[in-house]
Parts: sequence; C-alpha cells; structure tokens
Amino acid sequence: MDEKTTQVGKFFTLPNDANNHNTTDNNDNFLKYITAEIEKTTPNIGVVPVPNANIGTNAGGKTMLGAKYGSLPNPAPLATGWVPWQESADTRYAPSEGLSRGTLFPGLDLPFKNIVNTGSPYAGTPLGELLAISFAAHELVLYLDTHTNDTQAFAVLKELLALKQEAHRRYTAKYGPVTTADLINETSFTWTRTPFPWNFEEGGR
Amino acid sequence: MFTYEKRLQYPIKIAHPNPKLAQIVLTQYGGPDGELGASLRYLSQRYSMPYGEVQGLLTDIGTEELGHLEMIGTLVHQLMRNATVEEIERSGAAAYFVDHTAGIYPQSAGGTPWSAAGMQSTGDAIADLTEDMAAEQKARKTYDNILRLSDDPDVNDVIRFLREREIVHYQRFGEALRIVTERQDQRNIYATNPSFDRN
Repeated sequence: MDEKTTQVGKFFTLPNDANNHNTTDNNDNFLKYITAEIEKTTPNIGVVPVPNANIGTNAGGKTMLGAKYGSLPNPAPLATGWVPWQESADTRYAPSEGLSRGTLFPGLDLPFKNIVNTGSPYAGTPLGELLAISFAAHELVLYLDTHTNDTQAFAVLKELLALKQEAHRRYTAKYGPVTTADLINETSFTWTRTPFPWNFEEGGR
Repeated sequence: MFTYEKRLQYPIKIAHPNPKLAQIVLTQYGGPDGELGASLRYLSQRYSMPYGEVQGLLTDIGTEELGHLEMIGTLVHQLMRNATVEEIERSGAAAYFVDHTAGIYPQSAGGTPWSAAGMQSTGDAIADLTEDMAAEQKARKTYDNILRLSDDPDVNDVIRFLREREIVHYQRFGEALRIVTERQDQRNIYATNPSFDRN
C-alpha cells in the first residue's frame, strides 16, 4: 500500500495530509472525497443541488451522497420488513437523462454491471420531448403516491404537467393523435392511419 | 377505466431480426416473472387495499406494467417479423413458429403458457405488498439474465430501461409497505388484517 494514502473501507483510498497522516478522522474530508469519487464514476449527470444536505457536505455545490440514502424507523418492531424511505425528490436527473437511465432519481439508479444507456432517445425531437417529459411526470406521480404531503414535489409535478401539455400539443400537431380524444383536432379519422407504436420509426413516422 | 396512448414509454427500434433472442425476451411477456403477471397482480390486489396511497400506487404501477407488456410485445414482434423461415429454424424457434408464426403469444421462454398460478392476490395488505416486492426482484433478475444472454445493443438499451423501472417499483412498494405497517398498532402489527378486519 502506498504510504502516502490510507485505505478507507473497501473501495477508496484517501490521500494523507502534508505530514503523511491518515486523514480519515476528518469526516468532512472523507465525505468530500467520497462524493468526488461517486461523481467521477457517474459522469454527465444533471444534478439539482440540494441546499440542505441530509448526509455529506457539498463538494462544488453538488450533493450526491444524500440522494443515495433513506431513513429507517428507530426503534423498529421485529418481524417486519423495512425499506429505507426516500426523503425527498429534490435531487433529480434532467427529464431526458432520466428517461435514458430509467429513473429520475440518482439514488435509485443501480445499473446492471454499472453499464448505463448513453444519449437520450430522440433528443430534440417532438417525440423525444413528449417521452422525456411524460416520463418525468410519471416518476413524480409514483413518488407522490407514497409521499402525499410533499408539497415541493407536487409543485414540480405541476410544472412538468404544464410542459407535458405543450409537448403533447406539438407532437400531435405534427404526427397525429396520441389518444382518441386528440381526434377533436383532426380533419379526418386519422386514428387508424398513423402507425401504431410497435411499428414506429423516427419521430412517429 | 383505461385509456390508451399511442406511444411507448420508451422508444423501440430493432435493426436486426433475431428469433432466438425473441424467444428469450418473450418470457417477460408470458413467463412467471413477466409483465403480464405483474400488471394483473397489482391491478387485482388494489381492490382490497385499505388506504388511498396504496390503491393509487398499485393502480399506477399496474398501469405502467401494461405499458411494459406492450414494449415486450413490440420487442418480440420486431425481432421476429423480418426473419426468414431458415433463420427461424436455425435459431430453434420452429416449435413456436408452427403454432404462432411470427405472432405474439403469452408464454415463458420454456414454452409454458402464462398462468395465474405464478401470482397471488391474498387480500392481506402486508402479504400482498411483500409479494409485490418479491415480484419486482424476480423481474429485475430476469432482465439481468436477458442482458447476460443478449448482445444486441438496440434490445439491451430497452432492457436496461425496463430493468431500472423494476428497481424503482421495489422502492415504492417498500414505502407502501411501511405506510401500511406504521398505521397498525405498533405493539403488534399482525393483530388484525387492515384489508378485512373491522377492528
């Protein structure tokens, strides 16, 4: 082992300080290093900074560590299962990144063999916008199903729904109805004449 | 009731036919840990759930799983539709082809037709939510195995998305289980079944 670093747990080595002393006693230093390590291995993340971090200090204004942990009851009765509670929806990927990864929440992003999809499907096209915004809104709805009183998350949902309405309008204007209700804007019965999604090409050809 | 949106949750465009991979992916259509079982399980369990949060979550996730069922059907359709009969024979899919041609039929990779024996709806809130968490892990496991078996990047892209959804659903069902558990008498959470008992 390099004498200028100290092994911390299983995965990280922390550089020693100027006097070649182990710096793991300094909790701020440790958490700052861990956060930096996490960010190095998960590039291109559009993270919304959390102003009041639950765990870990800010490293360059971004807090990843807090989003990966939830809370458990203390004390907890025996003979029950407990999943840690996701405390907030504040730390999120941008909608198109969320769609690509399959979740809006970095803490829940746990890929097989750490291989992630790169690039956003149909980014910049009306279909891509509709898919990304709809996905983000849906993720917030599932979150709010179990977090009824999270007014902050509800405010975000309402913004996303407004964006979704606009994305829906733009998509249907160009490519035809997405629901039968959209036929109100059509001049003929286009429902059966635009491709069904298992036959979609780019942008809904 | 259900309305339909003429779009997939995540886009699917498969460049190369692959009947062998189609038979494997089909297991998430009609297999024991697949999307048909998931959607029917959640949509069936929601009726007897005691709290709005859980009724809402089971409805919303059950609906999403129907969308995933559509995605799996799309994958299998696109993997089969332009294959030649020779390719189908060589890939070992002849037995499926003779009964279903390039159509979509709900069965497992091993050929067992879909069965409700692979799911439960117990009418007990804690048992149901615990089963749902297990179901999400089984689905996640199946997607892991598809990724081990597949080298088609178009397919893997979609599979990675579907797999991550299962992890998110696991978290939500875990939270729903906590909502139910924490509303029972904490001295004995199993004294009564909140889905049925009056007191």
